[in-house]
Amino acid sequence: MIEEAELQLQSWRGRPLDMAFLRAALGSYWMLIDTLDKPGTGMGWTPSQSIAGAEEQAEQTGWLADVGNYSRARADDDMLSGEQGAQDLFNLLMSGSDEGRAAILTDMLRRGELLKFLHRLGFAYSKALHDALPTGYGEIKNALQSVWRREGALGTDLEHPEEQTRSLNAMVEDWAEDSVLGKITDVVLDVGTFGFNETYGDLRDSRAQGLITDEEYDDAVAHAALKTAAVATVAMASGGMADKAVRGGAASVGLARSLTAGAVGGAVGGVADVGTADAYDVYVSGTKDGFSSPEDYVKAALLGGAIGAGFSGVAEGLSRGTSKYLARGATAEAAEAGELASTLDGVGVAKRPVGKIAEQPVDIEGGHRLKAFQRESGVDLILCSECGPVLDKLRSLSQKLPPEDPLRVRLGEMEKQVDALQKQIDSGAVAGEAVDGELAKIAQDLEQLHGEHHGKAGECAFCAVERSAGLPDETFSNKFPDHEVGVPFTFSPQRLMTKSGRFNYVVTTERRLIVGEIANEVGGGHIDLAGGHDVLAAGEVVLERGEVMRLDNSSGHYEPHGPSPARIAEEAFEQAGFRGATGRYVEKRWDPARNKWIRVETP
Amino acid sequence: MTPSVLDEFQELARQSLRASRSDDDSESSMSDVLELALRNPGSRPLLADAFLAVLGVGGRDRIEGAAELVPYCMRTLRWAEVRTQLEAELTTSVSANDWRAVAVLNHALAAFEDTWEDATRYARYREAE
Repeated sequence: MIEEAELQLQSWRGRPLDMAFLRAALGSYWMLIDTLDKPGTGMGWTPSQSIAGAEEQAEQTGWLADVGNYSRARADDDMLSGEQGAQDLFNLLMSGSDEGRAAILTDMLRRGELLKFLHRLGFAYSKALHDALPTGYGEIKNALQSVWRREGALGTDLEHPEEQTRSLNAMVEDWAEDSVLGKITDVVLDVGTFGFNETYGDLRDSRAQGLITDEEYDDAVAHAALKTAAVATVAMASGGMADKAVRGGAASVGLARSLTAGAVGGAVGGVADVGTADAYDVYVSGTKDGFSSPEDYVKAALLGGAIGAGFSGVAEGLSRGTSKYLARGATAEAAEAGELASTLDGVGVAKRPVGKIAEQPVDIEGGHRLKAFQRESGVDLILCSECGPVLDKLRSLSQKLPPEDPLRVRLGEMEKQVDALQKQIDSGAVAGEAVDGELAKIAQDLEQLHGEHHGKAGECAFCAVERSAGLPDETFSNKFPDHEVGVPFTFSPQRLMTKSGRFNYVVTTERRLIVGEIANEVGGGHIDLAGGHDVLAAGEVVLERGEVMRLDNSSGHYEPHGPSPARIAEEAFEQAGFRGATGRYVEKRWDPARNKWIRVETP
Repeated sequence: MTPSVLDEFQELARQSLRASRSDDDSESSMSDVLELALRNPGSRPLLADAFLAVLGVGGRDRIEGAAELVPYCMRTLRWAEVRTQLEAELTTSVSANDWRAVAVLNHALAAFEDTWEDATRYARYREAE
């Protein structure tokens, strides 16, 4: 009898006001039920505790209503624990009465927490809360509507809610129930996209229905897409043994599926030109979303197959983003990757930390080191701070040479070698000690190049090539032709042999070295030394009785930069009889934030 | 106002410029200017203004002298009022793309920093730094 009364009361637990009425109505029977409860055997709470909770809530919030299992303290905790917390809070809210829920939402709105909470859930939740509110509460309804009454959710027209585009997957599955062609398309889509279509379709439908937020959708699609690319890559590279290579196993991709994908790829050879970029648009970016006819479905199925076919055709090296989904050691096996993999990288993956990866000495007098740097955009090899990235330098040198020139052919081969190594390091296909080994090979080539072009001590291989190959010198113009040009105080090289100090210098287009006094008057600048004309090099030099101690390019009027002025300045001082010029040149750049010239460091 | 100190400064500054343009040792005359400043702490405002006049800072009438006289002496003196005016002048010069002035002011201000690249050029500072 008492147990029955307990059960009856249990259903009123979230309604403290009604509970208070029952307490008055039951009189002494209330006390009997209230004191008999024991943890684990009865309700786990006493009716009086429920009423006390409601009274406490009234003291805190100023309102007393049926709030179900809601409490502000619990809500605060839930709100702090992310998406799942927001889901729990939603459940708490829905456990109360309409009036109680309205009171809670009003409280949250005033505390500035309502929108934060709503944005952690898909818009469907805001719509549900909105529709469950009683008449009135315009302020809360406006806040709730701001979440779902927009384009991309339910549209701005309350009378005619926007119809949500269903995913290709959902439509094809419906179609598959009615027709053989639909069934075939469903299978082909699933197989041809290595299961991605199904995952993507589910995610897309969830977003369309407002069950997940846009951020959750983007993140999940990115991971699904990248994993798919990794699986497909391994399948193509390993002949279908994707299961072994994918981290944690590939539940959705088996040997048969991978092999079938190959078959699909072959079957759709005629549409291979559709390419991976189109597939990306359909499956990831959504720019080709909203298929509406069976023809579209078939086209998409073929695109799905084209992903498989495309991999074998555009293999270039597994990208960084997809490689993280692969098991250790599988990267090298799957090195034959496709452009889709790198395209999918754009979806968003944590990059490797930038910085120096490895370095190897280039064995020439004066020493240079060949370094590999990880950058946001990939891997760069650097030899000389004045020459910049090795690949860029090889390309620019090649372009200056006639197509049939054997040096150009050789530089072209080196370019391919460096390009391939950079990509392999970037993808992880070459890592650890192997990087040192590969760098050492290229360093040897650079040593050889330096030697063949009679490189000087401290001169890098590229500077040696530029000098000995007689490549055109770069000229630099006065950037301020309206500035007055005066008569400089100059020193002849003979006089400078016995002097020490800091001086301005220019090398004219006739390769004449002019050295003069530094002064902040007309006559004391580089344009005065050059008579306002173009120069091959300009900067400051510190001399000590015939020896070049320091040499740079700090000239605001000409801003010379790069290897050409470096080489020309060093040569000019050497030819004028100064000692130690080669290798002393330092490339500087103007730092506007610090208002000074600073050394250009090797990145 | 101690005209004799200013006169002495002007004469030594001129000598520094002559030395820098000849084969003479310019450090000797610059060192004399520095000693003058150290011997006359009460003339600091006057001498601070004189140092700035060597570089023509703030439109001052120029005192003939080697541009390197200012960093050489300020390396020891570290007069904040000189530094402040040099920094203000540098900002103005950068805005005006006056690269001749920028170079000279950069070198003068470098002497106020912890590490001074030009220290090795002078006997007074070579060993100390």
